[in-house]
Amino acid sequence: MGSTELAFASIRDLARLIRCGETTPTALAEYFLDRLETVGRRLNAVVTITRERALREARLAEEELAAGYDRGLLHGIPYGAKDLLATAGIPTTWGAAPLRDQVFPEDATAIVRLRDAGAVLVGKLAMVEIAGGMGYTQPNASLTGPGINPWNEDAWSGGSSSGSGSAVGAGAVPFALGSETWGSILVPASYCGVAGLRPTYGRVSRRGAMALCWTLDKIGPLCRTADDCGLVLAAIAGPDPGDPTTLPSVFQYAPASTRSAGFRLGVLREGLDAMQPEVRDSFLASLDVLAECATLEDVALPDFPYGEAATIIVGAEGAAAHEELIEGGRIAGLTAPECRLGGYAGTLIPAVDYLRALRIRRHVAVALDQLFARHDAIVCPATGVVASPLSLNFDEYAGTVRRLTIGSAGNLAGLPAISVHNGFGERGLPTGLQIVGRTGAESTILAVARAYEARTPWHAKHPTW
Amino acid sequence: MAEDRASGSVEIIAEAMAKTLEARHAGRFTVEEIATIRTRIGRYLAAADKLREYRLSNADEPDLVFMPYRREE
Repeated sequence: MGSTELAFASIRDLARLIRCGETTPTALAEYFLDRLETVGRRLNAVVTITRERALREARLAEEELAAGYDRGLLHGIPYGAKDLLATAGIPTTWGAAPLRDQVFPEDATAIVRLRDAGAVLVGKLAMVEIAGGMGYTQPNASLTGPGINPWNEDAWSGGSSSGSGSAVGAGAVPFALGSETWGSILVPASYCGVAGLRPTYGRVSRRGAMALCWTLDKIGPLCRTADDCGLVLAAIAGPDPGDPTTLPSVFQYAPASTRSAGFRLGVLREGLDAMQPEVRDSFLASLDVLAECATLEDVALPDFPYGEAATIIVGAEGAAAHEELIEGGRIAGLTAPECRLGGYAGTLIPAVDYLRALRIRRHVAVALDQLFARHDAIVCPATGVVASPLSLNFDEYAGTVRRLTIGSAGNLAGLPAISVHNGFGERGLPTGLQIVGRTGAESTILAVARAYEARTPWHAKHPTW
Repeated sequence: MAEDRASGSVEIIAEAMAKTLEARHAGRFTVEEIATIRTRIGRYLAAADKLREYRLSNADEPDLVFMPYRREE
């Protein structure tokens, strides 16, 4: 396998190469450490390269595999983690300049679980400062600079899991962990042409992850393929006494025993006319492909103030979670001018308004569950536009389609969703297909995503790096 | 059930809330910064007004569950 092929190989392919002796965990770690140092740095995708830890973990993986102790497909596979996941003794900056020297004594649970699966941490990846919770309006909102898109260096990578999206998209890491409160996995996945899975709320422990919004934060993988997302989710999911919101059920990823056709899919066309023509065309072409393995039925979301409820919840919880940074004035050290002021307004949201949003949220969850119970999943574009130019504010570029209703609805209800690459739009930038599932239905949306990828070439395409 | 705010009152309330912040953090903000914060407050007020249009009853509880704690022995 050539060098570039290695950069863009799937987890299964890399695992096979290790087991047949064509490469080793140490060789892979050194290869991706170099990719992060060169490609990753150029894309502003990296905060810290964890060379010492990576080589230590890789050597251990090599010794274990040589001794016949195989921890599974992630054993010896390098990865990067969004820099809001704590890693013992290594800076965890939350993307924020005032916190550049912040160090925690323990690994976050998701990092511990990947270590237990034998994966090798090669770097802490760039992110929008405070996961975007202070209200950024343009790409230059991180201590590492604006996230640069691997398909077009004049375009943004998306956020807030910026480095997770661009590093995977550019072949600088085989997979990455990101987090989503409201769009932060699906948007960079769509913009960078990779698969990004937002798990059900509570599926993955948040212990050791920066809190932006306790009732909305989710940790999930960004990978080359839907199958890779399933493999990583299986490693990081599960109950954790350190996070009381984790679901008691265990997630098992068994692609061989799940169906690959016969799906019932709802099609959400809301806002389609206002989207960029290429995004719309990619989606309509995706429907033709999905029709080969599914029955399709148009659906509409029930009428709720989704965006307003999410705005109040994120505003209030974000201000509370970062009260010390705001009240102490250190927020003035953030990179984006709008973020330096963004948290103050949230400190004044009345408790009654916050609680009203949470009271409506229960109605939202019940109504959406009734809708999703009639379908295996609902499909729609991941975003209404491709990645914006680095020089523009988001609203200037995307206008009214910047935020799709399904984004606030799905996150409010804690529903799982995946974005997979489904074509290209203007300026050679990727478009994404979003597949949203019922609570706990990650296996189903992964099956739909795999069925789509099995019929299309998009996930195998990659930029030249 | 609260009455809907009168038209234009969002600006008035936002102004008052921004003054609260100025008082809490005396000397921290420029005039332009206070204007930016006031705009953000206005967005939250408008969002809250929209939420008030959705009817709730006394039986509608917040989607939070409090769990009394007792250490396992």
